[in-house]
Amino acid sequence: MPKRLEKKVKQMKNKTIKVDYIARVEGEGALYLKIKNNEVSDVRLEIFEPPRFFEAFLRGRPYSEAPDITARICGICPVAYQMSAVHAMENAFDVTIPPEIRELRRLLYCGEWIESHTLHLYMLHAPDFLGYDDVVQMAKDHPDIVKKALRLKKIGNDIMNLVGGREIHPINVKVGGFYKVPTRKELMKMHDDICWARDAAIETAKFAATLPFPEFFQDYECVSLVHPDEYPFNEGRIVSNKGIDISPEQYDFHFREEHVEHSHALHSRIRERGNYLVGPIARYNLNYDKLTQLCKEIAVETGLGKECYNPFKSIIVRGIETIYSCEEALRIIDNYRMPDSPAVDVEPSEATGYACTEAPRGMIYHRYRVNSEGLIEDAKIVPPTSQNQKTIENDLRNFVPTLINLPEKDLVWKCEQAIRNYDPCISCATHFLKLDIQRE
Amino acid sequence: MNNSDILIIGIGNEYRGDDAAGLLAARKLRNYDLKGIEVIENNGDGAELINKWTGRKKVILIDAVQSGSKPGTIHEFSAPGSILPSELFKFSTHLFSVPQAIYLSASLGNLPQELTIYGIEASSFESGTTITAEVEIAVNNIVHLVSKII
Repeated sequence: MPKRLEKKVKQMKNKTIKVDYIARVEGEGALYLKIKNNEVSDVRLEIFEPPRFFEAFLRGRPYSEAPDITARICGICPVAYQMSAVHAMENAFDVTIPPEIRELRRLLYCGEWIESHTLHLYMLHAPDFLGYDDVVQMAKDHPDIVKKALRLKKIGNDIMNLVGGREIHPINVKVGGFYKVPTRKELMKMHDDICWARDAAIETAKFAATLPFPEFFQDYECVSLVHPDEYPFNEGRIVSNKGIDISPEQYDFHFREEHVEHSHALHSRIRERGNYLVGPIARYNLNYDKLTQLCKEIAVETGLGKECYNPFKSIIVRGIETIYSCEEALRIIDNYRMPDSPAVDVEPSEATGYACTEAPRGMIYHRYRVNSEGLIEDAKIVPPTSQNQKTIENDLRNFVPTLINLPEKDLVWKCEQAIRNYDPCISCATHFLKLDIQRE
Repeated sequence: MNNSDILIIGIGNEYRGDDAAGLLAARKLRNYDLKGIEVIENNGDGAELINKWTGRKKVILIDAVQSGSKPGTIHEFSAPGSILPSELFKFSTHLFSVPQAIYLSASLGNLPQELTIYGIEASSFESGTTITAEVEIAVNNIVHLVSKII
């Protein structure tokens, strides 16, 4: 039970559990759970997301600023925001980028998946399974595992740094391509490190598979990009296992966002059916056949199979996707041809552009309306966590009854673990310390 | 100690009001002749901080803090000596925070010999790029202070 967790537990026949701060999720979140006659009568994941500030902030700005501004929405997945912004603008202006640029964008995404998945898997989620308050405690017993995690994460950051220009908020990305592209020699310098990372990722997936998992399965509607030839990063059709198969332009016809009173984030729904799942499990279930042979072998070895409906096993899927990212990075580096020009010319026009890409924690949707001067008139950004929010609440609704006899502190911990299955990026952008000062 | 053993890190988010304080300080410090001392910016990703400071002997970290003091107050800590993790962690809103990074790094044995943290008391973390006047003054004072001690 994390000590820093503030909780108020009223012990009655009917219980109300309120966790004011959920540790180890990105940003701030709170959970409210009401149990009546051993059933969950109310579950609310409260999210303090900066409500749509960035969408308003983008209005009136030049189209070319969208990648850099949206990269600031999240420190953990800036590439996802950037890539979605450039693809949406290129969609609006009918820009086709050369294959070499496209490969570099995939490489940049590999870096982000490696660093984000590694951070979540080892530093945030693994302590839950192993019974530690946090990774600081875990490091005392398993320093080598934590050191390996830090090195693996660093290699992801190094890729982002080399291709993106700066790892936290890449500054090298522009609509039409990049400001500057790396030479083959510069990329080859990373080759040995990425080989190490691939082997470390294999160990990571195997490690994740040894963790204890509850028997908990959900009938999710999985939604992910699907591309005919590749595991999805930057492009594809939006597909679900329950019948959706649309282009990003059609997103708003099939999905809608609604305000709910308890959350500053908007809840996304499939118009006809309700909640759905995005993220590693959804991608894996819909794209297993696009994984490399090595990933498939490790999936068999770890007992994951071709499909996964246990949200706790998302930690293994993150391991498999990290292997994929390393192998894909190696493939891109080995075959790299420096593009003739770092970017193609872009001529803005009055248009609306749409794009979806796959952030580490799930599909992200961007839509921009741009006027004839190239200024943004309207922006819509749907991050993965607001798409998963309703599904997280559903998981809790179904998971808590299996734990009803646990002491409260254990129950709260299990709930937090269930929320962390989603690697939720809740505030997507705030960072500060609230601190008490001790004077000695 | 060589200048390459020293690292200055400004932490923050430039779109969250006074949270930008550390970043602004880092950017202003770059205007000085730092004689090879590296200045970097970070968004508060603790894991990356560890990777950045591993192998350095002296690290100066500048960040916005919130303790209830008057906005613009400058707090100085040396890590891990004067920081109590339980007090910090309880209120940390970030997933893997700066103090966690300090304690993890101490566990792993790669904490720099000298780690000084300057915390600038913030007033507002609202969305936007405006920072409070008192915080801006504090940023300038920190920049002046750090430029003198390095």
